Amino acid sequence: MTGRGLLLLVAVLGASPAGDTVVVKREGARVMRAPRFFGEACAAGVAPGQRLRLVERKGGWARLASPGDGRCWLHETAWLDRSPGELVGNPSAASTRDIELAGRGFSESEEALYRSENPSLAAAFAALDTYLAAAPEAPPQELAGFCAAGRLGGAP
Amino acid sequence: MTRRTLAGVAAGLAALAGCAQLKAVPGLGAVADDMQRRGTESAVKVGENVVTAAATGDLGKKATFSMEQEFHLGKTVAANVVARLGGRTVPPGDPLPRYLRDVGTVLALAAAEQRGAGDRPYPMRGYRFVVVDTPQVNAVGTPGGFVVVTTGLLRTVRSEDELAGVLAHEIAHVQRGHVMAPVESAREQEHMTSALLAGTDPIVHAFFGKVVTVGTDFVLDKGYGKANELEADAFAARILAGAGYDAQGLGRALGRLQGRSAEGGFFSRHPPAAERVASLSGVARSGVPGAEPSRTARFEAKVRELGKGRPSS
Repeated sequence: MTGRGLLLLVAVLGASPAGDTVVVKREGARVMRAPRFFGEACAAGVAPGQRLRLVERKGGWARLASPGDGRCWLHETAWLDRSPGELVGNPSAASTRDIELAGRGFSESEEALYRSENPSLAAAFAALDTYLAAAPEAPPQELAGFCAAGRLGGAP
Repeated sequence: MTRRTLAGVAAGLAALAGCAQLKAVPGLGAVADDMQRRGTESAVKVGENVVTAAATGDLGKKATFSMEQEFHLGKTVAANVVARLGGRTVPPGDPLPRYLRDVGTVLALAAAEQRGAGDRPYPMRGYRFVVVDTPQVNAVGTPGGFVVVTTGLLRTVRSEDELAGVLAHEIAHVQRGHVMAPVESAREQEHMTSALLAGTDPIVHAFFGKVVTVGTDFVLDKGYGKANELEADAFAARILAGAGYDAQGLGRALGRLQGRSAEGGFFSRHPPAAERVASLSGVARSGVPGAEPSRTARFEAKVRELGKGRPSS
C-alpha cells in the first residue's frame, strides 16, 4: 500500500459490513439478546482476540453467527480500534516519515521504562493494577439488578 | 571521513540500531550524542505543540495512536493524577468503588450507544473508576478509560444523579478524545518526525514522558479548553438522559459548587459554573426523566460508608 493510500484510510480497524468477520479487541464486551446494552445478556461471552462472523448489522450493533446461534448481538465498540501510525487530515503534507511516527513507543515496555524511572509513582501504578485486576465494569447480571433498582436504562 | 559523511552514516545506522549502539562505533559517539540532544529538544518542542494544538483547536494533520497505545499513555497519566491527589486509593472491592463502578458502567454504555463518527473507540480494558481518599473536590478522566474520583467530590454532591453528571462529563472527555486529539495533532509534526527518523528509543521515550507530563497538567490543572468543556457538558446531558438519569444532574452539581473555584480541582479548570449551568439549561430540558428517590437513597447509604473505608496506602 502506498503512503498516500495509507493516508486515505480511516483509522479504524475491523469496521465491517454484515457477512464479514471481526476480531474482538476489548475486555468485558457485552453480548446481548437485543441490539441494546440495557436488557437481557446472552449467557455466552466473547474475549479479546476472538474472531466472530457477523450475519446482520443494525446501527452500531451486529448479530453474531456464534456464540448464541444467531440470536445474540454485539456492539461495534467491542472490535473498533485505531491503526497506529496512520495520518488523517491534510494529507498533502504527509510523508512516510509521518506514518512511522505513531507506530512507535507508547507501548507496555515504554510504560515499564517510565515506571522504572519514576519510583515515586510505584504505589500509584500498583493501585491502578489492582483496579485493572478487578472485573472490567459491572457484570451483566449485576448491572441489570442495579438498573432495575434505580429505574435506569429503560427499567420500569 | 568528513563530519557530514559521518552524520549521514550515523542517521542511517541510527535508524537501524538506535543511538545507544551507535555510541559504540568508534568516532561516532559525539555525533550520536548530538543527535540525541537535538532529539530530546524536539520531543520537548512537540510537547509544547500539544499544548498549542489543544489551545487553538488546531486539528490539522494528525498521526493516529491505537487504543493499546492510548491505554498505556492514559494509565501513566492516571498514575500521576493519583499520586498528585495524595495516592490514598480505596481498594476496588470496597462498597464505594463498586458502587461507582456500577454508576459509571451504566453511563459508559449509554455513551457508547451515542457514539459519534469522530469519537475514540471504547477503551480496550474498559472503564476503571478509581476512588482516591482526599478532601480535594475532583474528578478526572484520562485516555484509556481511567476515571479518578475523590472522596471530597463524593461528599460534595448530593445525589446519584449529580454524581452521574460529573462521571458523564469525564466519560465525555474520554470518548470525545479531548486529550488524545491534541496529542495526535501536535503541530509542527515534521519536527517530531524528523527526530524519530533517527529511530532512537530515547527520543521516543522523551516524547512519551513529555506527553505524560502535559497530559497530567491538562486533566488536573489546565483543563481542556472552554469549547471542549462545554461540549463535554452537553454530551454528558445526553448520556444522562440515555441512561435514565436526570439530565440536569450535572447542572445541579455545578450549581452547588458555584463560587468554589478558588479551592482548585474540578471546578477551577473549567469555565465558570454559572456559564456552564446556563449553557446546560437548554440541553438538559429535553427528555428529563427526573430524579429517582431510590437512587438518592442508595447514594446516601454509600456515602455514609465514607470514613469507614480503608485506603490502600
